[in-house]
Amino acid sequence: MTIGYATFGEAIRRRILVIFLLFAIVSIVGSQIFKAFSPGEEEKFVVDLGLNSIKWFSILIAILLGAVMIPQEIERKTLHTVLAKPVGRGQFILGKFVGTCLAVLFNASLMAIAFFVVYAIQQKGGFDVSLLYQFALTCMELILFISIVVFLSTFSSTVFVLVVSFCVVVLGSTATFWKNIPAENEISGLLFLGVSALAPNFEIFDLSRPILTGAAIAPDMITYPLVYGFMYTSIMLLLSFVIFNERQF
Amino acid sequence: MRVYPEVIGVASESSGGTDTLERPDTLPQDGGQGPVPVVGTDTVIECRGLTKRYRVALGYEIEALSSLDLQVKRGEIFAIVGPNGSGKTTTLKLLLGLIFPSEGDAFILGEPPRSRRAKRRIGFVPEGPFFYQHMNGEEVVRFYGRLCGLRGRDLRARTDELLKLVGMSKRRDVVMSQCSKGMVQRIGLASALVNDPDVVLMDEPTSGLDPIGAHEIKELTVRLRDAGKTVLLCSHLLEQVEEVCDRIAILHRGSRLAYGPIDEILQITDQTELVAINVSEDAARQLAAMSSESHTRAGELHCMIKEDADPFQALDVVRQGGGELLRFGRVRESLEDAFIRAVTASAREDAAISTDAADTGGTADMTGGSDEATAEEGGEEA
Repeated sequence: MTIGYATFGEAIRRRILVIFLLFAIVSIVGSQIFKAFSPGEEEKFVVDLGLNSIKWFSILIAILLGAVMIPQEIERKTLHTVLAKPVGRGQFILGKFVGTCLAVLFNASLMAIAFFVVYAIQQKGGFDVSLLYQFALTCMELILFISIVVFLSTFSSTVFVLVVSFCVVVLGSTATFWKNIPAENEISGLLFLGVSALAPNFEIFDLSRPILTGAAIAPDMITYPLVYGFMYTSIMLLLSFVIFNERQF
Repeated sequence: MRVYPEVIGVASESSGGTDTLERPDTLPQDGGQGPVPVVGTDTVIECRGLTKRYRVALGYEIEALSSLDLQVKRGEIFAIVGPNGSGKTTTLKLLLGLIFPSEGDAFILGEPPRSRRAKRRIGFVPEGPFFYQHMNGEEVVRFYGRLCGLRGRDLRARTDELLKLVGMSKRRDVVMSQCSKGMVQRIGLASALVNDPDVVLMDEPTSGLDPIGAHEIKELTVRLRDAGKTVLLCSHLLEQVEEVCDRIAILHRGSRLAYGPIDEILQITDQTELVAINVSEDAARQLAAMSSESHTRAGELHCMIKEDADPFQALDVVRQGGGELLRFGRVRESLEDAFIRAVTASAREDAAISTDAADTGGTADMTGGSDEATAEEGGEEA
């Protein structure tokens, strides 16, 4: 946890993170003004913009933090002094992962608080508990995503991690499209199958449709993404340990 | 908490720009990990045929370290010296388990380099350390203390003690982003010592320090040795190493050129040095004629008496000229001289082997050849 706290402390002092946080909060609070552009659907507009702001700004923060955390330690050789102490390489990776998660979730929580306040004002004191479910799933989605970023950064440079992380976000957010896309030939069929099998499916973490339509949220819509996220994260961390253990600095 | 042995001299933290090192009141803690068995040998660090090759483009490899054999004994200051790119840092990285050997083995405190048991008893001072920029000096030391298992009151006491030791107790609140190179180096030293290591590995420890800072680090290194610690330091600053180390290994292009006690490696030359003051002009002229080299500096006449001249005759000249003798005797070569001698011999050996190989049309292991030849010349066997 010592490395985790240090990572968290370092992360929350990054100026870029504060800028994204401010943008997100401005966007969430601004939904009260811009809802006028969707007459009759003001509530939907506020919820949609609020949930998406939390998710996408948090993902941006996760990419930027995750991409630099480990490569920077290697480049600046801070890693040498840490690994010279009785610290396992697995512990180091876990510490970096936990620290990044804490920083990203801390920011996501601040955005969520802003959103819940705006929503409560919109509803004149009312509150929809399904928004909390959605926030919990967004947190799981962010944890999963951070584990992928950490995995990538165990063997590559910051620029590579940034590019591939962005691709993972795109692929993961369009998982159904890749699964259902008709293959023109065997190769493209295998490619789409591979993409849909390996890339994480971020769509399962999205409850916005039932929330916006007021439909009931079945328990498995919560439990399945949580179990999926936990499993995927565990595999990513395990792979990170294996690769990092063999790296030379 | 154990009492620190009386080997460490007292100095006080100056109020001026440069801090001095201080005697810690107590010995460092065990890192909260309990006792670790002592290795039943005097050898603390051992390298056997340690080789490191790096793959470069198109399948080519470069050998950063070639079959290094090395033994560092308990309680000594051992220095690995050599120019940049000679394999010093590679050796340290191998000993810390940051990189893996291509061939050979390394042991530290009887354990393989990546052993956490061994790391509980190691301190590492890197060259130009870089710490988390948002932390201040105290937080950095505490961070490394926590990594070693120190907590609570023990950690606080240990941190205070080490900040005092490295002369940073009054500047403990300065964040790393605002620290000078020297301050960072001091914090690096305190962080390395936080677990009361038995073995301290230092990579260019005086890098970035002003002369006073460098002198203090040298003093501290000696004090660590006197306190029973083993110090392995790597440096290209031969003069500084020469003053403190007990044994050395000279590396050049990854090969060990010389290895052994510093007194054995630094040969006594055939030249006699004479230093005198208040020598009359006539006597000075006579001495200059008897010397291969003579000059006057700060009122002192320095002469290197020619090998074919009688040095005692030169003594008589000083006496008759009314001079006062300050120094007289055979000259021991400097580490720099020994290093140049070893490198030159190695180059000569390489050239000879190349010629032989060309003549016979065969190939030769130039590195191994030069290593053996120069190790003998260095005065001690691997």
